[in-house]
Amino acid sequence: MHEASSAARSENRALLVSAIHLAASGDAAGLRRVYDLTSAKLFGICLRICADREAAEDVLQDVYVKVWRRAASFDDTRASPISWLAMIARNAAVDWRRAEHRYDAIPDEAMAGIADDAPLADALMEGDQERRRLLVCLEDLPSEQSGAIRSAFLQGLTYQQLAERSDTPLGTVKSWIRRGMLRLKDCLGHG
Amino acid sequence: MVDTAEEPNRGALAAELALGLLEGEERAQGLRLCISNPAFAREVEGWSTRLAPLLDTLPPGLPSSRVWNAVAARIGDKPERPSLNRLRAWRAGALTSGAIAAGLALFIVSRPIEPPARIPMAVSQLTGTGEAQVLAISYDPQKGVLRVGAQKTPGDGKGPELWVIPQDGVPRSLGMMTHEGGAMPVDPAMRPLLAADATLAITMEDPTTAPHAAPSGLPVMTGKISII
Repeated sequence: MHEASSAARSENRALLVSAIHLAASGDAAGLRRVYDLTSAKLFGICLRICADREAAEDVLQDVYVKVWRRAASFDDTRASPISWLAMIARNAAVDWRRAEHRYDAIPDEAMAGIADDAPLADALMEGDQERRRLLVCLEDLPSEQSGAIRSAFLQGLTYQQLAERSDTPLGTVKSWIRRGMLRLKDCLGHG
Repeated sequence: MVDTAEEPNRGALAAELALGLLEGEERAQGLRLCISNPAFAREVEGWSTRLAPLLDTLPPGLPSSRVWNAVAARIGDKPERPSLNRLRAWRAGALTSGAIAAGLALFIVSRPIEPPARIPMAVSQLTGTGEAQVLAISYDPQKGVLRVGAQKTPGDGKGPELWVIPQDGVPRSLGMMTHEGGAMPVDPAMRPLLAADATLAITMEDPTTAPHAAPSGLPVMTGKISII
């Protein structure tokens, strides 16, 4: 979904919420609508984390079956629908990687290429409020902290793997993450 | 080892759990805490919510249609309907294959004799890509039967499958047509779809696997339904 005016965004959000509610009521047409509205985005997440097209499609399939089963537990007062869906996709893709021990498949630039995950200036300008704040706060962190957080989140790396990949002692990586997360929380405001 | 579960480190543990940094016993401990301590579980969820917008920065991708087909099968939905994107491509193709778009002349005929009362009847003239290919189809809503003219055989083992595309844009198969034409009964579930402004289309499909859930290629003929 491209960025649009905030009116269009809240309309999309309402559409998505009502589609999730429809799916929660057991109507497959609701899930189909959720799929049409979000499959490109969720597939992008699976593809990025699995780094394998076929596997990403298998994971995406599981994601929508999970959405179908969990739709009734979705609470739009606690999370935006797209964040809720994106996290289900992210976690499913990370689980797949762990089960497959696919860490060797991660390109070497995983740590070095973190800049690739950095948003374009446009995205920063047009992104919704939450995303903009998160990106600004991440940017404020020392680069090794934000880099470790991004790698852990976007690639599903564990402490051990982060340490190996960055050739850094485990304790150092842990303190990067913990300090980074603490500062991130402060920057974003508690809650 | 790490002092994960101790009180001062709860906050860090929640973040680590949300990020998926932990393994083995540390992870198991964190998950147990999630179950026994709702406040901690909310904290983990809070981290997920905070970080989720980062996923917005990843470029989207287009999954193949097998994904939805498999999802639909697993949730017990009717088998596959084409994804919107594929459908858009299909319709765009149909509209740009020049002859079709240009030749979309509808023709309306009066119902021949008999009707005791005014009974609506749907008619469509389908215009094809080939030269001077025209096919008239009429529909008798009382009997639920389509009457189709004869057409040429392509001779590649494929046969013409007739589709109705209602306002939602999703093609539904009405079944394979015989080359010699004639009466074609319509499944009662499909009858309400045969309404004014719905589009009829014909694609060439493998008759041995018909009816299909979605067209496999561009239509060779399309036309709109008019009620007369």
